[in-house]
Amino acid sequence: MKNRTPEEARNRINRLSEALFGAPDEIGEEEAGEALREAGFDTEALHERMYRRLYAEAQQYWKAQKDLPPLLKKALEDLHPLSSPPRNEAELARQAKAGVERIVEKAKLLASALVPEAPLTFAESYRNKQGLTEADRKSLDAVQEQLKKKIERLKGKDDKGR
Amino acid sequence: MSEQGQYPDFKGLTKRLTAYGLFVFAEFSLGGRDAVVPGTGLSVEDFVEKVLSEYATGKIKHHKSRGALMTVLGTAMRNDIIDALRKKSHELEETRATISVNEDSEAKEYEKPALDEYPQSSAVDPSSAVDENEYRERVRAAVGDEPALREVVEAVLDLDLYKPEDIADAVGTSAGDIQNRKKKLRRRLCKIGLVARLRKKAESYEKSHS
Repeated sequence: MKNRTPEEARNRINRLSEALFGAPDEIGEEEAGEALREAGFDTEALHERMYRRLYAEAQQYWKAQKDLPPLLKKALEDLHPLSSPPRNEAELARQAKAGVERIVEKAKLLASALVPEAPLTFAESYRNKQGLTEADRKSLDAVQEQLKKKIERLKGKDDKGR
Repeated sequence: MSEQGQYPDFKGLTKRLTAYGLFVFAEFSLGGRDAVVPGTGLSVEDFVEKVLSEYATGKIKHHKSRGALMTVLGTAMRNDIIDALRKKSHELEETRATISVNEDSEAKEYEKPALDEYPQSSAVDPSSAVDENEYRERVRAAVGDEPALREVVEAVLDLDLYKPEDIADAVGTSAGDIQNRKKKLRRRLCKIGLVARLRKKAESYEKSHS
């Protein structure tokens, strides 16, 4: 193999990597979230760490009494930790929204655990029971139907909420 | 600013760049959250911090003619990782590099993981990690015997095909399917790294409790 400069060698590996594993922009947020979860990353902690680094950068501008570059300002706004006290109304609203979203997410999880995903089946052995009149059977069928409708309604609401 | 002329979402960028960094680390046999580039102590998060802070302060500029923002930043980070792997002597640091911050800043010293959580010095040889032949061998080994993934790897490594459309033609499928297979390859690569890390942890646990 001919001698290559470090940059040429790097570019060759980059080209192979892109062909085999894809370019960086092929990784969407969903895939990124999964990969981070599997690797044991806490994304909130990751954002906080990034915020601290950028805050340190921002301090140099403040000390020099210079305006922050717009992108740095936006980055600090985006990454401002939810656990920190809000600095303005917009942040307060954002934190409140995130808090409510977390609660709703938990409630959904709870609801999905209570309402079964599988199709409903009811035990119908009572049909063979001795001594039941036709009226009894009708009453039991009506109760079964009511229950079924109620659960389907709950499931419907749950699905719409997702 | 992004290619659409709007500011990007930095939370999303942080997430995607960190995940991409994990994949790049796995390509060079550095698996898992606590992996560092041998001899530098630099972790995935360190590389993400560097590239994001360079972008936020204007040192890295993005223009749509250079492609998607994520590709520009991801490629810059990838080059940093490869350069760090290449330039280091094989000496290992025992800690992650600390990030320089002003004393009176909000930033606090990060809590460092226990030393035994770091990869062993024998885990990766930095000079071989960036050798093209070794890279090819590692990729072949990582694919295992899954035919769909092997086809992609062979098309790239043996037939020198790089574009998804060309690989798709050679394999007899669609370009979209090739993109899906690449995604599977990424996951597989990452899992191998993670499995190696978990095995290492289990071994050190067994040693310490035997």
